[in-house]
Amino acid sequence: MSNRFRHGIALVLILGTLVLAGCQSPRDEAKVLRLNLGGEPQTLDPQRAADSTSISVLRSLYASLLRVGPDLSIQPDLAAEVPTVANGGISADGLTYTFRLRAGLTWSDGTPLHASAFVDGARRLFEPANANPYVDFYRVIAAQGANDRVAQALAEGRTGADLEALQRTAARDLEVSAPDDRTVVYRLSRRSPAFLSLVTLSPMYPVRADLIAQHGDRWTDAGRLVTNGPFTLATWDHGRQIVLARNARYHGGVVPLDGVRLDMIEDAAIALLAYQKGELDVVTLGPAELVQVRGTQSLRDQFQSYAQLSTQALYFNAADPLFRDARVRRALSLALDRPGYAEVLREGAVLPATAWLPPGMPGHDRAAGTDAAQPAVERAQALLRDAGHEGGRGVEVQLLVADASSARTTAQWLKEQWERALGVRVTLVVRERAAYFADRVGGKFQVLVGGWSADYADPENWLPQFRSGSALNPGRFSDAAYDRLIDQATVELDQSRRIATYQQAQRVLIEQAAIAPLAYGRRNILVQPWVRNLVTSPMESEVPGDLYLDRASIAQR
Amino acid sequence: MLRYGLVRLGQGVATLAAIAVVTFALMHAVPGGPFEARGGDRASAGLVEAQRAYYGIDAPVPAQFGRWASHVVRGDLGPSFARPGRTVAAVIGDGLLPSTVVALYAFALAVGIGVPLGVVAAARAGGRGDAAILGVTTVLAAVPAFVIAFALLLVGAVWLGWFEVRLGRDVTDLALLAKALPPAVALAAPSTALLARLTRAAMIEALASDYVRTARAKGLGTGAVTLRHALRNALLPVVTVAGPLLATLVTGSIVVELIFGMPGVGAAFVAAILQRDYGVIMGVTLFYAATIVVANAVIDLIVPVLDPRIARP
Repeated sequence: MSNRFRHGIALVLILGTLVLAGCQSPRDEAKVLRLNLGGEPQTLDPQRAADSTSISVLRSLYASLLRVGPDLSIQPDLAAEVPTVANGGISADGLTYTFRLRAGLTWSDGTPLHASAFVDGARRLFEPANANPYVDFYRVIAAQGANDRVAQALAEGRTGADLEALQRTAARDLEVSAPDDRTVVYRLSRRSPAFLSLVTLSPMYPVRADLIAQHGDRWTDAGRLVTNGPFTLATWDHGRQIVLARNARYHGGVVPLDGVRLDMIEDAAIALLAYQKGELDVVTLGPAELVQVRGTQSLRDQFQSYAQLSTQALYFNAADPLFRDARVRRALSLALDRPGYAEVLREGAVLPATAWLPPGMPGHDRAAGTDAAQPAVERAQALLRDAGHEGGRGVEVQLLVADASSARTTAQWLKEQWERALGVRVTLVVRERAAYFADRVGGKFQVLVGGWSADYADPENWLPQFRSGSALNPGRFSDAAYDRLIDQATVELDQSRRIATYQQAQRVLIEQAAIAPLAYGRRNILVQPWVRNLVTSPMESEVPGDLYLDRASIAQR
Repeated sequence: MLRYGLVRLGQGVATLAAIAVVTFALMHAVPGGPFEARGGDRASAGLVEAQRAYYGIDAPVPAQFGRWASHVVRGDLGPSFARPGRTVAAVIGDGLLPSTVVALYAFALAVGIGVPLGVVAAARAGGRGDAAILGVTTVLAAVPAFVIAFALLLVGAVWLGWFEVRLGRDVTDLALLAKALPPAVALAAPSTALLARLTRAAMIEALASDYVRTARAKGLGTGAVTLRHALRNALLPVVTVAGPLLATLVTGSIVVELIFGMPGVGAAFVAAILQRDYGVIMGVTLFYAATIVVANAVIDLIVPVLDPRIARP
């Protein structure tokens, strides 16, 4: 009888093996670029998107008035030309920006794209229900004074019904208008030379108010979302995959790719496996994968490494009794072996940083902070002594770090460096991402491992956040000279003077050690030999080449 | 029977309510909220506060719980904070099918392979076949599911190319049910071993009992004795664990889902915890708790059928 059981088991095993053997990976279409998105985007609603994953997808779905070129220049996209004072696009007082749309623009469903779509998009951004942190970037747009009052209330920490009413007023009274179908006008409450850069970003994309009214929150579902960029949303398999299809009505001409497949592989090791199996055309390498690829001869010609406009830095809490003293902050910064960090600990995946603005960013200053280019331990010790902490006496530092393996390694390294060079005691406070940001925005830390990456290639995106009273100044850094320089630069219309003023401000930032720059970011990727024209950029979001997928193509796989 | 059903229903609701209260309290005690997680370094303290106020999560936790519960009893699990524009029900709904398919598949594998293996081992207790089965099941019971999952992925997907590294949603496509096999195998392996060992022990006991000797003495064949007399009695402990086991498979697939890239409930749960997506955390917790409550209730109904000595409820 047990024969019957044996047969049964054998049958199950044989059937299992057969079905397993029967499933082969499906053949992809020849001209679909297969990329890794790294996770589920939070939303494909441009006014609600705030995470890098969502923004990466939106860049292929939408086109804006202007776009940023691979050389970081601002170029016209849906606008016929970039507004200047000379061509009348910018008013003489610098407060009114007028964009003239190209003729014959349409949405992917063939509906004409009118200037009012930009008004609708801008207005939606300011609705409190859309909860987009990027809205604060755009408070410079005038709203009969309401935006200034919202900014004031947020800075003072006033919330509740009054603020909500004020936010709604700002959305309603926003001074963005469409005098005719091909003209969009933005009124600013102060001069803002970086406003053209702000126009390139996803919160300013046009939207279809009619479809939002029709479908409600489900308007971004595949089959409903109507876009105006090089691609449209074909399918969205939540948590797994997004497929984009070429938009035949794209104003920029015929897109070479049939489509783009965006997989949501969170683990870099698994993404590399998928790449090696030929299931992905491009893959971003994590630290461990970078080492693995370096050791694999066959992958070396597929390797590319390029700069990103990002800087990893330590933030000091200037409101802390210990770190109120700039000498203590400086000492901790000077003691660090930055080349060792970049080359040994991070395996050359980053570059050592002495300044806040990274290379490639207008205003990057190679000479800034060079006294920290090599560890200056004796000077650091002397500074601590001057501050009354001879040999690190009485200095107990709590170092806040987000719970990611690379950040933990960095924090361990910092602890070891400081304890050995300065004799201070360092305790690591490893917090989960949400808790880390809660402590960070709440100013509940002494030193934290953080950083910044560019939303747009302008020092305005990097330096004013450290001004006294700025809402994004977690360390409460406050310096009168710094504030003056920032206030000058923010409204300076002469570009070279503006950049020079920001550079001066950066010197103050480094000398006063509001932060200690650690490393400039790089992106390390593998690209399959059949991928053509993957145009990378120093301002990429999650996906390599995400700003210019309209140019990429695929040769015979 | 009706009375029993009502009592069980009452107990179930009470259990769910208790779990909801505890989870809600713990969730809010954890530092960091959805808008800090969502805004990251772009969000100012003021903006985070404004958003908390807008969504009412600045209210005292008991008041928030009251409001949440009053919506849940009306079938509204609320909005997802981490996925603006999506509801909690939609986020969980996305993951339900892949998770359930793989769990049921794993359950079928665990029962279909584990129980026969246990019977075979018991029939040859002390023999070489028994030793082999014991050895294999010991290893399977000791190795965590994620190790088996990675091993399957490495061998099946990377070396042999039988399936894609990312299985994803295809696991729900009936024509491609084969695709669900690797995650189901990884998930089922420890449970299969458990069931095999449990069945073996129960069978050895049953085969040594008086009624089996009597049956043999009556001249019944080995098959009839093993299957009709011994197995039926030996199945009782097996069925008793099968209910919680199925619930464990439904709720326990988190790691396997992450490794095989399946967008299941478990994967959504992990993401929700990291993003402090309060509504999704509560929704999935209730779903998991309800699964366990229902599975246990069903087993309590089945057991008396196998053993009439246990009072029918």
